[in-house]
Amino acid sequence: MGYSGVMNSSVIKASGLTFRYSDGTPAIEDISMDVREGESLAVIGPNGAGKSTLLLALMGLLPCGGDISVFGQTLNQKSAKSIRRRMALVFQDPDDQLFMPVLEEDVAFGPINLGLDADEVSRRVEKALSQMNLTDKRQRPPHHLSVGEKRRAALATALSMEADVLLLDEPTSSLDPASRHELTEYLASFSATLIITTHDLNLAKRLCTKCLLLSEGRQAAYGPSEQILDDIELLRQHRLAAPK
Amino acid sequence: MHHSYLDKYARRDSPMHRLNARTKLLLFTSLVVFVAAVPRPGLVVSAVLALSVFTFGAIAKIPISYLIIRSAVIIPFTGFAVLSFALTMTEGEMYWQWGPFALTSEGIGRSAYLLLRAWMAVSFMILLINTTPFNQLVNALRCFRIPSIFVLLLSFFYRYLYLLWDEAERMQRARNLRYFGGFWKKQAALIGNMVTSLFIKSYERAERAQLAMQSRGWDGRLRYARIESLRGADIFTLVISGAGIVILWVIQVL
Ligand SMILES: Nc1ncnc2c1ncn2[C@@H]1O[C@H](COP(=O)(O)OP(=O)(O)O)[C@@H](O)[C@H]1O
Ligand SMILES: [Mg+2]
Repeated sequence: MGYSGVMNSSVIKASGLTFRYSDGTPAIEDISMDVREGESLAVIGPNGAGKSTLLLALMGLLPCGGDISVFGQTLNQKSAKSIRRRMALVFQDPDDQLFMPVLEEDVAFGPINLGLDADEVSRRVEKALSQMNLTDKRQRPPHHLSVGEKRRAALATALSMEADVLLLDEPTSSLDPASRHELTEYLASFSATLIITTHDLNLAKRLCTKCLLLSEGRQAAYGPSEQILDDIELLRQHRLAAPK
Repeated sequence: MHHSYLDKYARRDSPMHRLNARTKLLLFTSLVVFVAAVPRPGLVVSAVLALSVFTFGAIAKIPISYLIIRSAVIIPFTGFAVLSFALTMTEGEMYWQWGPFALTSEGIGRSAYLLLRAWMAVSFMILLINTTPFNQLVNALRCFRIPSIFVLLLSFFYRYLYLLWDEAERMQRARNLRYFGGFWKKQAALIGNMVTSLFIKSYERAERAQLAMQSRGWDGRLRYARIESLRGADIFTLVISGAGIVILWVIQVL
């Protein structure tokens, strides 16, 4: 406690996080991390390392072992709902994220569930759509959007939650280099605490102050971004291409 | 992404499209109910109804060819009933007979009416879904006290039908690349595998979509955004079409 005066307060903290899928696959094992005010975390690792599972666990969507606390509040069955009001998750596949018949309704889904009044809901929908440059696509069904638009749409559904913590699962995968750059710059302008899973180490370097390297569900390395992203040998060992 | 959408014209602009979804839902379902409730519409009533299909189509700027091609879906569904009516009726003037089968004036008349009614009912539904975006239709259902869980299921159905379709198409393509003909049995096993993997994929998709809903505050209860209220044009349309249906009814009964 002696340090708390000089260090920023913790946003999201986990210790000994462990989860197995019902078929016995140990997806994450003994993960510990602490992301503080003003920091952001990149979760990196090859396919199947457990990145997506970790994000679901941090949202309190999986019954896992270990402890999580968000803004100092312990995450459990009872507190999950109120804690989730401050967090927003964007899935890797936008088709999982966009489940309503038209974009506008999807963006409104979260705010409506938060119990906001109609004016506040439409204010947030307008804002999220214009931030993601999708205002003219609002009445489109998701199957009439391009891949890049779907990605931004998925992000808009999370932005309308106006959460303090934004968890993004591989936000730039399957995007062309220009859209990837554009999205990275969008994300850089956000004030929320970001937790991003990615193979794109340029994105990690640009946006995140901390890095967590996962390998087969275990924590292979954890520390400041510069330290991990410059360790070319470590990255190569885990099948990741070093950032430029 | 080249499936021909069932609601290809739903997002165009026309006086029909601008009407409130509730108005159109009420208008077209009353017309369908009317067609279903009148087993043998007279010549005038039939003509007016058939004409109304094309008039609505024209106002909504939906090509006649599209209406006709789309409404051909009734053929496999009503074809059997129409044929059996036409071939088994023995009342009326006899034109042709062979064993239990016969072609009579009564049989032809009845089957023609059946076909006409089926065609009109389907055309009204095609007009409805091609003048009203599906989400608005679903929201309109909600106003008519359809249970909300059913309404939600319907909107998911619309959302994921196309996704499933695309997935099936991709699998079909992947299969065709590696399939070079063979025995029926092999073919059947392949189709079986495809259906199974499609089922598993949809199941997993449903699980993830549920997590996505939960992470955005979904707790099993439904909350909705505002509903648009009826405008002058809606009231006008409802009054005129209501009066029209009553007049048709009176003509029919007299
Ligand atoms: N729904 C599931 N059921 C069973 N096993 C799963 C499920 N989702 C992921 N897994 C397994 O858990 C491990 C971690 O997966 P995931 O978190 O998706 O990895 P990543 O996102 O890093 O690619 C993998 O071995 C994967 O096969
Ligand atoms: Mg993943």
